Amino acid sequence: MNSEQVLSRIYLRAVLPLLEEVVGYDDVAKEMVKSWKCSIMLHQAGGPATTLVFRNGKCDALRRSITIPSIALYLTEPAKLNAMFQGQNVIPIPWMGFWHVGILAKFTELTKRLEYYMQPTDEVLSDKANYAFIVKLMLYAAVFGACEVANHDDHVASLSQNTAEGVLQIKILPDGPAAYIKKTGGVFSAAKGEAPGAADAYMDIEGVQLAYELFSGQTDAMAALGLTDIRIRGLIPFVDNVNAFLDRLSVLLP
Amino acid sequence: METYKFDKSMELFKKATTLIPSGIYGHESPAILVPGSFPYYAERGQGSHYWDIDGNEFIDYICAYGPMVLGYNHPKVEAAVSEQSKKGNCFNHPGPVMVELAEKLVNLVSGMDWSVFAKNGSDVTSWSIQVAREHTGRSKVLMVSGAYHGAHAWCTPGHAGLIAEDRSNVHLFTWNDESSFHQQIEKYRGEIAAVIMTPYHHPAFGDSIMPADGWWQTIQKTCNEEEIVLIVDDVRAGFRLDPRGSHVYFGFEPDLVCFCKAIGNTHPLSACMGKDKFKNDASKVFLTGSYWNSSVPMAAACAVLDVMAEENSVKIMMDMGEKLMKGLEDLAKTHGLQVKISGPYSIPFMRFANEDNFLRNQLFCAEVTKRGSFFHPHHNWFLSSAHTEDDINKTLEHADAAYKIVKDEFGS
Repeated sequence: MNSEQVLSRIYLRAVLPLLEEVVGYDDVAKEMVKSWKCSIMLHQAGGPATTLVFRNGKCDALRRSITIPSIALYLTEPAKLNAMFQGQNVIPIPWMGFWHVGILAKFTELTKRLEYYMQPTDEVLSDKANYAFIVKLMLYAAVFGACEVANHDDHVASLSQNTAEGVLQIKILPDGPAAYIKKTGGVFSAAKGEAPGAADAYMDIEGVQLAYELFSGQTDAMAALGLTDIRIRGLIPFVDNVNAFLDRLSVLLP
Repeated sequence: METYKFDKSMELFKKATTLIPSGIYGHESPAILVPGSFPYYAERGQGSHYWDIDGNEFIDYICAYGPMVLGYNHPKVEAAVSEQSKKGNCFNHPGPVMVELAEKLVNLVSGMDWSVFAKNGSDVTSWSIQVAREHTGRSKVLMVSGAYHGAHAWCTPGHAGLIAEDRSNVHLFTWNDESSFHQQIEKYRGEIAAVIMTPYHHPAFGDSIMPADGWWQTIQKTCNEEEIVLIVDDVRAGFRLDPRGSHVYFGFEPDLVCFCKAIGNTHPLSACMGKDKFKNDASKVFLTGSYWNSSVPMAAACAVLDVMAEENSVKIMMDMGEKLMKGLEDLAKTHGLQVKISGPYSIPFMRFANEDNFLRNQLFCAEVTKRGSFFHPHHNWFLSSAHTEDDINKTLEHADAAYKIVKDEFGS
């Protein structure tokens, strides 16, 4: 796939699902969705879909389409989807549920709460709880985004193909959050939390500040490894290749 | 026993990270070992031992990743170095020692008629490909998937700073897989300048794999028929299997051979040697570097070759390596552990047979190293002719303690 196609997958499958976390954490977002009972599906022609299911004041992100969403938003091409996520004036086509105009407008407001944390001001970052929450979002965006890159980006196709099957567990110490990346049957997938059973490779990151600096490209990862602030063990080539996918993710994701 | 601490290494590394990207970069980066369980900075070496800046003493089975072959501070080599240093190292011209060394190599290495010199393995593997391109007028290069030929853009195992064009003329095939090799030959027939290969497959993070019966003969026959230049990257194995070149050990005749590591016994030097029919092409391909004609490493190399012949270094390394690896294998059995030994005894590798993720190996090598024998969990080891039976026995004691810890941690 070309870069636009891969980026659209990253937005749909790694970034948009973060709303699930935002609704769980952010009081403004909680207030917005408290009475919502609907599903909003965003998909791109010939590409992936993500469905956000709102009920009981919560949001569940499904990285797939569903048969009858309350609202279905359709983008004709990856570039338009990407432009929309980058804040440009692109209106997706509501081909189902367009009568829910009110919720659509509110949904746009909700996505701004995601932006609030993904592009935080210094003031937002200065709050300890916000900081930890932002690091969690970064971790989840990283693992899910890395999988989209590994599975679909032509730039890393050879590397991806040559990566041995296994599980990489990533944990921010001391108490999480954690997430893992798995390659099975030639396909990379990610999940939140700790992998069931033993992993093949482990990456432990000493504290949220280092994790923030790592995910935002502000730290020398090799130096941090030597200092044992980041600890890796097990199948190191798997970690090394995921690192290459993350490097590529940072190039694609502005 | 009390195990080693690396406080000074860590302290200096902390300072280094403020001054040097990665602190320590490349293959000596602590990141590819088990950080915190290995030394970061060496202080001095003697024979098969070296000392880190914390004062810890190690029996060295990595040998500076290959360059130490006769022992650190070898008296005859260092005497030659000292003598040449008094005269000088770099001038406007090479020293006569360059011709002396070329003559020694041509007389020693089987089938090779000339030699040029550089500093590192990558210098000569990359240059040898240019020679092949000049000779054939073709652009493409075949190499084995997972093989290491250096850190230049066309072959680096790294990911950063590369563009697609860097590798657009490099194509991969699988070691010991004739159909994979022939597929690439057919796909790019008439476009392939060179096939570059190590004499046996010695990837990092994997077992060493010796050539299957007839493998080299197939490669050589095909290269001859297709008029492809066959380059052997003997940087890692050179002078540890056969002083006449690893191609003698495996019974084939390459067109060009690249050496480095052992040739200078820690003094920086590499060499590319070739058959006479490539000499004119070689003379056309520009080859130079600020320090590439420096005399001191060449004087060291002359001494290295003399000592190797006198003491039969390869046999010593093979014998000591066999004692070490058989000892490790037997010891593992007594602990109810399964290990897999691969590679020649002079360049062996060991991992635990019941895992592919190196978790046991990382613990084992860290525990052995913390007791005074430097083992690498992911990279082949090296023997030197300075290793003694006493070294091996001490190392087996260290291994015994480390196996127990692995057994306690993993059960089997």
